[in-house]
Amino acid sequence: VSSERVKRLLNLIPLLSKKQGQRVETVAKAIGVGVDELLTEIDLLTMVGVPPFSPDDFVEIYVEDGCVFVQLDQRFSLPPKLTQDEAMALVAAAQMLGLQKEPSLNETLEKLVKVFPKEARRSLETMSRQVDLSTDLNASLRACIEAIDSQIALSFDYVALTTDESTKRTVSPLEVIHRHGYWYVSGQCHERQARRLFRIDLATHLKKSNEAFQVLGQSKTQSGPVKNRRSRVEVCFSGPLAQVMKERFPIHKKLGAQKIVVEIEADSPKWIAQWILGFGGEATVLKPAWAVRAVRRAVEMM
Amino acid sequence: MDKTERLLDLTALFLDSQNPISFEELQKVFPSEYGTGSKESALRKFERDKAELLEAGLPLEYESRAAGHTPGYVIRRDEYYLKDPGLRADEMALLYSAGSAALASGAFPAADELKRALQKIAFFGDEIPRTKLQLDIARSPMTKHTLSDLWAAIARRKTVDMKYHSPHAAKVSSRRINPLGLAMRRGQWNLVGYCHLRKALRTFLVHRIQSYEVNTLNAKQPDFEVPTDFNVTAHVAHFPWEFKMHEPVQITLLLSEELIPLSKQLLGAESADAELEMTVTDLDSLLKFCLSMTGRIQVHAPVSAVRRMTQMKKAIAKAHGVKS
Repeated sequence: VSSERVKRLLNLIPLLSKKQGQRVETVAKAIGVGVDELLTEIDLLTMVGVPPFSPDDFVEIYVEDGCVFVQLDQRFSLPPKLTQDEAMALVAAAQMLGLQKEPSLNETLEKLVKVFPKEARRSLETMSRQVDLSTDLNASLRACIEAIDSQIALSFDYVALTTDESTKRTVSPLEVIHRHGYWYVSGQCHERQARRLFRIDLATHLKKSNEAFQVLGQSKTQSGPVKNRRSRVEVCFSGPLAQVMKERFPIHKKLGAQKIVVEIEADSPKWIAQWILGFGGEATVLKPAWAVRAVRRAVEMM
Repeated sequence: MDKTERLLDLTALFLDSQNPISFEELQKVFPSEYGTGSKESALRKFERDKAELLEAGLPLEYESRAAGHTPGYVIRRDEYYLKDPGLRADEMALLYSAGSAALASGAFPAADELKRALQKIAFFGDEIPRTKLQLDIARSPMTKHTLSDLWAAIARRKTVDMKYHSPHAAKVSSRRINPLGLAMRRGQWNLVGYCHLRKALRTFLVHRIQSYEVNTLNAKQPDFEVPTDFNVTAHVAHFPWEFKMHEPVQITLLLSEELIPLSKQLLGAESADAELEMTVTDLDSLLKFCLSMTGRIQVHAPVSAVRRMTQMKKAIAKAHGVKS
C-alpha cells in the first residue's frame, strides 16, 4: 500500500511543479482522489526532504487561495520512468486505435517504447501475442479522432442502410462512440445541416477534408442509433438465443422456460426490420403494428 | 515518521547523491529510523523499505564495487527519470483518447497502471485535448476486478479456478484454466486459456465468469509455460462467422453495388466485383448477417447454404404472419 502511495506522490510533485497554481479541486480530480485526501498528501509532502533537513532541503509546496504551488521540488522535477505494468497498460490502450498493428501507425508506439524500462521492452513481443484489442477499422478511427481534435471536417462515401442511400457526406465530427460492437462517429452533417450518427464500417474513402470548423456549444450527445424515441417495440426471443439476450437486456419478461420478451426503442421501420432479420427467425416482433408490418414487408421484398 | 514520508525521503536522498550510500551512512542520516535497536533489526527494516521502493518501480541498486567509493545503495538519475518521448500534440491526443475511453469504459485491465502512465506521459504535453471517445464494453458488476486479476494472472502465469456460465449450457461449469491471453472483440472481453477440463485451448467471455480464484500458492513461481507458438489473435474471431462451429465451408455471395467497396469492413473479405467468395466456420451467423442487409447480399452457393437461408426466411415470415 505504501508503494502505491509513493508512486502517486512521485507523480504528483512534478505535475504540480510544472503547472503552478492549479485549483485543488482540479488536481484532486486529475489524480482521482478527494480534496481532503489531496490536502493530506500535500501536508505529507511538506515534510519530505534531504539531509541535513535545513529549511531549504524540504519540498516546498503550499496551497494559497485554493491553488497549489511548488517552490522547491527537491529533485522531483520529472516523473519517474514508466513501470513495466504501466508500459504494458499503455500499449494495450494504444492497440485499441491500431498504434501497434498497422505499419504506417507505428511511429507513436516506437517513440513510447524508447522511454520504456528495459524489462518492458523485452515483454512487448510476448504481450502482443497475449493481448489483442485491435479493431479492423484502425485507420478510419484514427482519422475520426484526429479530425475531432484538429476540428477539421471529414469527408466520406456513406451507405445508409435505413434509407437505401449511398451518398457523399461532409461532417464536422464531434464524438466517436462504440455501442453494441459497432463504432460510430457523431457530428454535424453539412448535407443534412443536422447532427447525425454514422456507422464507421459503412463509410468508405474516409479522410480529413480541408474544411476547418468551430464547435459552437455542446449539443446533446446521441446515445445510440436512435434519433427520435418514436416508439417502444416488444420483441420475443426464443430458444438458445433467449438465454444470450438475457445478458444484453437485463430487464425482460419471461414467457415460459425458453422465451423472453424485451422492449427496445426504435424510430425507423427499416432499422427494426434489419435488426429482426439479423436473428434469422429466432426473434419475433410482438407490437406495435407498424414494426410487425415493417418486418413483414422486408421479408416479402426479399 | 510516517512510512511513506520515510520512503520519499530515501528516494530524495538517493536522487540527490549520485554516489552509493552504505547502510551505515543511512543509519547516521535516519538515526531514529535505522539507528535504534540491533543492527539486524534495523537492516531488516531497511530491507522492507527497499522492497517497497522496488515495488514502486524505482531502480534502487546495490553497488558492491563502485570505483573510488564505498559500496552502497544508489538510484541512478538516468535510470529514474522518464525521458520526454517527443510525442507530437496529435499523437498525445490520440493516446489520451484511447486511454481515457478505456478508463471510462469501466472494463479495462490494469486501469490504475494506465491512469498513472497517462499522467506521466501528460507531463510532457501542453494542454491535452480531450477527444470525445466513448467505449461501451459488455460487463458485469465484477468485470473490472476480474479483468485486473486475469491480467495479473496472465503476466505471472498463475492458474485460475473459475465458475463459468454459458447460456448454451444447462449448468454452471467449474474449470481450471491456464490463462494465456485477453482479446476484445466488438465490445466484449475474451479470455483464452488452456482448459484442464476439456484438455484444450478454449475461449471464455469474461462477463460470463461468475466467480474465480487465482492460485496464490508460490506467488512468484509460474504455474505453467506459454506455448511458444501461442497468439491470442488466432483464437478469437473478429466476425461471428469465424467461430469454429463446424468444418470450414466455402460460400459465394453476391453483393449489391454499393456494398462492394465495404466488403472488407463488413465481411472481412475483399472483392473487386459483386461476387465474393469466403470460407466460414459458422454458416448460420453469416446467413443472419446477410438477412440483416435486407436483400443487399444474396447467397449464391453452395445449395445447402441457399436452402438454409430460405428456411430462415420462412421462419421469419411465419412468425410475422406473412401468408405465402
